[in-house]
Amino acid sequence: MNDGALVRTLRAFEAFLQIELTRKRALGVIFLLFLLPRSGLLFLAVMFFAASLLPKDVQSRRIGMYLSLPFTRTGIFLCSYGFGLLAILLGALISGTLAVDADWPVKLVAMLIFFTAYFSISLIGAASGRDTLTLPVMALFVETTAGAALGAGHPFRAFSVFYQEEPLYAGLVALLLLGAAYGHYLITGRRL
Amino acid sequence: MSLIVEKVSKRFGEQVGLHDVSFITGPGEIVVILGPNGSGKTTLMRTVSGELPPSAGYIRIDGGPVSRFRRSAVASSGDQRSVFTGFTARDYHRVWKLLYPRFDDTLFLRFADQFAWDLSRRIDFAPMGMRSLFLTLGALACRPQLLLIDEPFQHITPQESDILCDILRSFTDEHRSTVLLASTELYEPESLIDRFVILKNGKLLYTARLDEARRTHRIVSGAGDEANFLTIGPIIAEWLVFTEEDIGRPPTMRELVIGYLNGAAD
Repeated sequence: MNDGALVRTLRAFEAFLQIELTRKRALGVIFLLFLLPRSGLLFLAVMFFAASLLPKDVQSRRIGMYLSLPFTRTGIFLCSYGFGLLAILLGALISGTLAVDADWPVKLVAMLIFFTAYFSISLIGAASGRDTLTLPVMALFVETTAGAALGAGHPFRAFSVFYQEEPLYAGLVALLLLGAAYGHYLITGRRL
Repeated sequence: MSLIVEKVSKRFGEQVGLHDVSFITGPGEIVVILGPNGSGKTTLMRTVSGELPPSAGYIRIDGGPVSRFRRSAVASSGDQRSVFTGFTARDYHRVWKLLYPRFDDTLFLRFADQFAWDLSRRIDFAPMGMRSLFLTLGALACRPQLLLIDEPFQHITPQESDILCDILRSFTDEHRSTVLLASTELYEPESLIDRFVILKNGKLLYTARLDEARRTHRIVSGAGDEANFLTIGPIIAEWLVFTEEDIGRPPTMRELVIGYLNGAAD
């Protein structure tokens, strides 16, 4: 990427952030929950946050407003996902700085994996014409109950993006979901 | 900037959005895409902007494919005048400046002054006419090579319409940019239009430069078989016909559109 292209990309990301932060001021409230230590409430907050990004715009068919600006579908996907990663990173850094959570690097990795997976699940639901929360809530319910029933040490919990007993495997699952969501969003999104 | 649309079709599953649409435009032209609701105008605009890839056919901008044409060289005011929630005019100004390297700040501020826009006002709460004008002129201040606008003359006053015509004409003359306007009810004054495209049910009914269309069409009172012309369609008690003979009278833009749409219905 040459300097001109890098500057254009950064300016586009800045414009995207400005649009998102103006349109979705309520995200500020969810952001405060990122300061919580690792808990069920934190996972829920991240899930709601993920669903309120690109999946929400796909579901409400507001994506055309971005496309009327010089954003491509891929650009919107990357900006929205990048915005989510940035918010989680900031939340973890602030909670570490304020000494709310001494174990913040572990929390950061866990949240990034969980966010990636649930951003993807919510986007798959929205791009399929459903709402942004039904599929993630169902997935979380299945994941937590199955993980609890199977018990610690079961391979399911190694791959689970909620339990993350093996963060590397859980991370791979999250990335696979992200790839699937991107493909689905590109193919079905062209009809919106 | 030149635009070539060649045999473009767009399907959404079983539904046909566009079928075999072809037309060309030259630099500095103002082209009106006309047709009733559901005729494919918005699909055509979205395809030309690169937002939707065609299912068949191709689009060339300055000889190259749309995908290679820089998105920041295309500006559009989307359909239905949708705006970002909570955005003030100043927020839009800031975003346009970030996204369009050629954004003309002086021109934008001149428009703001001319139309007395309060830049701190939320655009989603503004009256439809102001919103429409703001989005059209904002897109124009981005100084795109291709400007796509949907119904820019709808909802605005006759005085604003006159000013907008002057602005659009000087913009195309000065920058040799191409303007594509989508219109359902033909609000545009004839003096503004260089070329037009009539669509119905996703199909192209007719396209030509307006001066050429007026030279090759006539309005006559009867469409008899013996006459040396091709009947296009009825217009109340008269007929739009295709001929180069000096009969009847030349049609207006509106009569051309109605004649073709009525003829297609038959």
